[in-house]
Amino acid sequence: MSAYLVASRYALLAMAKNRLAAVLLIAFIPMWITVAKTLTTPKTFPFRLRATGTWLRAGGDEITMISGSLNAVSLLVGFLMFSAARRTRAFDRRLTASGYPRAALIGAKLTTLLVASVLVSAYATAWMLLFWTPLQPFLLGIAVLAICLVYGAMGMCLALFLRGEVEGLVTIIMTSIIDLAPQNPVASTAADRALVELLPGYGSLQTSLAAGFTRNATVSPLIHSALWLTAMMTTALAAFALRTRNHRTPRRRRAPS
Amino acid sequence: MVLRVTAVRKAFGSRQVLRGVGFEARAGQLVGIVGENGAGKTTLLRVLSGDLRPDDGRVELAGTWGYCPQHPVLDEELTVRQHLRLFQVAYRLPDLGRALRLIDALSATGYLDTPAKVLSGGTLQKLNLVLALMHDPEVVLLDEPYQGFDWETYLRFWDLAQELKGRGRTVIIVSHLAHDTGRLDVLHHLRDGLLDPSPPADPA
Repeated sequence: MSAYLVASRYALLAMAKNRLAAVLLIAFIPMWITVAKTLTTPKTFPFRLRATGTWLRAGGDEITMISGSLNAVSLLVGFLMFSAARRTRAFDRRLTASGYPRAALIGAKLTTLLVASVLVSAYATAWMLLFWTPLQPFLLGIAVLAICLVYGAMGMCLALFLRGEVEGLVTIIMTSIIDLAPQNPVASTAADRALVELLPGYGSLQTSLAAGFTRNATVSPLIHSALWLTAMMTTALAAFALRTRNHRTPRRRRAPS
Repeated sequence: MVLRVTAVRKAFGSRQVLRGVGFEARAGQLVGIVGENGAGKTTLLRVLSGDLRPDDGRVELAGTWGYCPQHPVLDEELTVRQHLRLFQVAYRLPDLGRALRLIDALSATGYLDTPAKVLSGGTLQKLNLVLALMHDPEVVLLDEPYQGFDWETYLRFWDLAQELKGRGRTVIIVSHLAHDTGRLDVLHHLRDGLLDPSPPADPA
């Protein structure tokens, strides 16, 4: 089995043992979606979809469910990736110093992020579809996947300078709230301000709203998500490459004279 | 000479930890480096393993090496066998024969499928040590290698060290304790960032 396959297999096995993340996935996501859909007003609200400039009307419960789902999946994948990156920080260094190919470990990390994001986003989207029929369910799934990837990469970045698991979890929760609350057209009057375009969840929320309430395949907001993902992934991988530098590998020979 | 360390200096900020350390080691030698807590022993071993770059000086090391860090550096979620498998890939070993023999010699075979997070401190240290020895390196760098070992395992460790020496391997052992120095061929004291060579004590 190749170095990449061994590393990916073990990284996924280790991630699957994260009990807190499993509880959050199984219980927290359905709970959030159910609460948002059943306890929020179904009264319709007019709002302008910033990505297209068009005015839409949608139920407060549906808008809140979308925003709540993005909130839940972002903190879950962010925490999963933070936890994995923090746990393996010193071990990766030892493995690479012993000769493990760094590209294989990087490939395993990207695979873990992708698998976790696909699973969590598919699960959350499926729960939303139980309560509601968006006009473009596939695009909704893509939007949820995008925020999972962005927050997963953010979790890997946070592990560079936050030591404790609780510190990481709290930071990710606060970031997700600060990110999504001002963008929710029901809860915030600032949802249409230009500044919201800078937020990491902008691409996903705009695309989710477009997927839910229009027939336009609006994917341009996802460019914002792609930029956030690239910036954070580059930071995390550059830090990994820097930290796993070794001045001598166990297989090099240099005989003293 | 398989290891030659010349005038190695290393500082962390304004604190000069190593101030020109130099020593040599030949094939088949057991070399001890002792010093008080904070004397710079771990820093020296990290420089020798390539984990840290010295500010000045040279480390010349011939052949393969294995490094056992002071605190077990493992992935708590993985089992002992999974650790061995990862390091088999890292060292490009065709099989796990030697690793499993070492695990057996240290009486840890019963823990092969146990995740690291539930292992005792002593068993973690056994795995930590095996990961440094499983590719049969020519130079072995061990930082407090027997901490947490029970008496039986401690004795087996020294049997293992003698076996390595007998096969021409060089073993560098760093410790804050200067007991059992009779088992060593050379003993150095690290004081104030410099090494004082001293003859080994008589075997007890």
